[in-house]
Amino acid sequence: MKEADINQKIKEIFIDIFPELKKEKFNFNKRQEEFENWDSFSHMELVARIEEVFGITMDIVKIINSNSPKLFVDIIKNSFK
Amino acid sequence: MDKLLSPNFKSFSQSLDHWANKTPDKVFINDLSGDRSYSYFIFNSLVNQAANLLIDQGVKPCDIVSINLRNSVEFLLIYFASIKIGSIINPIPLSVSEKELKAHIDFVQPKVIFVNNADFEQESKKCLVYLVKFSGEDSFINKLKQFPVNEINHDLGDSDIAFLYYSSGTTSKPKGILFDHQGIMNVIASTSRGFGHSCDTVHLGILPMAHTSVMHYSLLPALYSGGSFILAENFMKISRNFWRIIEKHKVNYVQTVPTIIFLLLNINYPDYSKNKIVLPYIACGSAPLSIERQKVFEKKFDLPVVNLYGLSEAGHLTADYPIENRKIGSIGRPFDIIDLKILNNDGQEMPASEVGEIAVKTSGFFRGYYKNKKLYESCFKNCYFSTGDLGRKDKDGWYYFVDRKKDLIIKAGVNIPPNLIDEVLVKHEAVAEASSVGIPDEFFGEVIKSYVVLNSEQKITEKDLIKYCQAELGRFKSPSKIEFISQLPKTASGKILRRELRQENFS
Repeated sequence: MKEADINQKIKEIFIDIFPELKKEKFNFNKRQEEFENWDSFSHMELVARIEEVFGITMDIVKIINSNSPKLFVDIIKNSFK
Repeated sequence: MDKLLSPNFKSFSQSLDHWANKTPDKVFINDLSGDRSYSYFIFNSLVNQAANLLIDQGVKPCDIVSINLRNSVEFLLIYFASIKIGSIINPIPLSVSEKELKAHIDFVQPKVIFVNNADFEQESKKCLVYLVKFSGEDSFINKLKQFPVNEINHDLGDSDIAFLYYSSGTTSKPKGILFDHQGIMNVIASTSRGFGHSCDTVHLGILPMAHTSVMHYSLLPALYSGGSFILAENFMKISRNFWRIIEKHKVNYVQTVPTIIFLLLNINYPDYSKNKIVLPYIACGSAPLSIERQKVFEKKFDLPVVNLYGLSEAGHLTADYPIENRKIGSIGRPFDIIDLKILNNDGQEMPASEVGEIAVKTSGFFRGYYKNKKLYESCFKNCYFSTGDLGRKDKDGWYYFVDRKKDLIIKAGVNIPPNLIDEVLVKHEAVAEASSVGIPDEFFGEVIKSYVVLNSEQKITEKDLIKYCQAELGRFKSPSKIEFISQLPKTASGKILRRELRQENFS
């Protein structure tokens, strides 16, 4: 899968779970603590959606330590290598 | 600081006034998200201003004040302002869907609801809606400046209702749990004695404030004892700095749930050292923590986990604290106002080691379910409240949780009645019957799985049915998995056998 496609899908998933992101320019480096509503539940929702959309299973330690859209993109890129 | 004793407070309005006079400069709230701290005197002044704002909004004693905000100082100011003027504070979790929020408002009919969602403000015609902004010129804190700081001298009666806690209810009908000032004060005083909290205790609050856990185990005990409370918006916001915050603020009490224990075990903390912190143990409640996970945690962090057991209607029942001589796997022994018994179906006490229903009598009881006297009366057997949980007591007086008698699903420490989901599912035209159960999940403890029988010639995908549930129930209370089956397992009388559905190999 092309990096641009991964970026686009990750962006869509984030905007779906955090609709307030529609109002701003999407920033792949924005960190978890800078999000208004990124709590443990939305974190697991992100993971579930990403696994479903990309058809992958993520490692639990990587899941928990991913705290920005960019880190999720990196995990997906590596899983397709 | 010398240990200051807590007088016999009758309400939290009185305790706030007391500490604002006795220790005015001491930090009560330290807000990590805003990097602001509030002394007892300053916080009390702001609460007085918020109380005058409530009065300005037309709120009178016994009116209901709903609040649907994230963890914040603003939440706390409204919470205590409501207590001060004798109105009834009604926190609503952020996890409720828009539909549930509207249904809840129809049910409780608050005088005013405080929200941060401008869309909701425009939509609601049922009650006054006050939009709370956390920053900017028109922030809530800035708006308070126009109100006087003078004390509100409302005479609060011990038995006046002060709290209305949101509960999903066992059906789609909402449920509210009522507490008076004295009931909550008894719970908090007993908890503070049980843990030995004092004015030196520093609490860290990471759980959602609209649920009772962080308020009753941390915030109110901090206020009762004249201690301090470090306020985090949620755990994920501070997850990477968790131990640094514990170290920096010399935290000695933090309340968690099993999901947070799991996260702590899996986040990398290369700088962690037990020697840097004063935290003597980590408290965990709301859902059972496996013995295995408890042992792994204790080994990794060299820090004991204290297990807590309680329920919304009766406060805190047991804790396996003090740690000395405790029995791993037990939920501990009762707090000093708790009379706990293990009863059989006839309401008779069971001998030691035999399993029965856990029942409780306490001076920290709730006062009733909002608009549902019948349900309230049905919960008691010989003055003991039936918890719906099965347990046993050993010969030394230690209690053990065995199973849930009720079919509750507990996801990330939040109770979710399965009927709530089933009723939404069967409303869908494609669904003939549905039954939902909790299935084990490493992260949440349990997630929801629904078994669905479709109407003949009707088709719908699992994904679409989950989306439908999310629109009705919000994401948190919607099933993670739906399995379509030809028929549900039932007894001869037609009762659905949820226990069979919970079995791993059921299909």
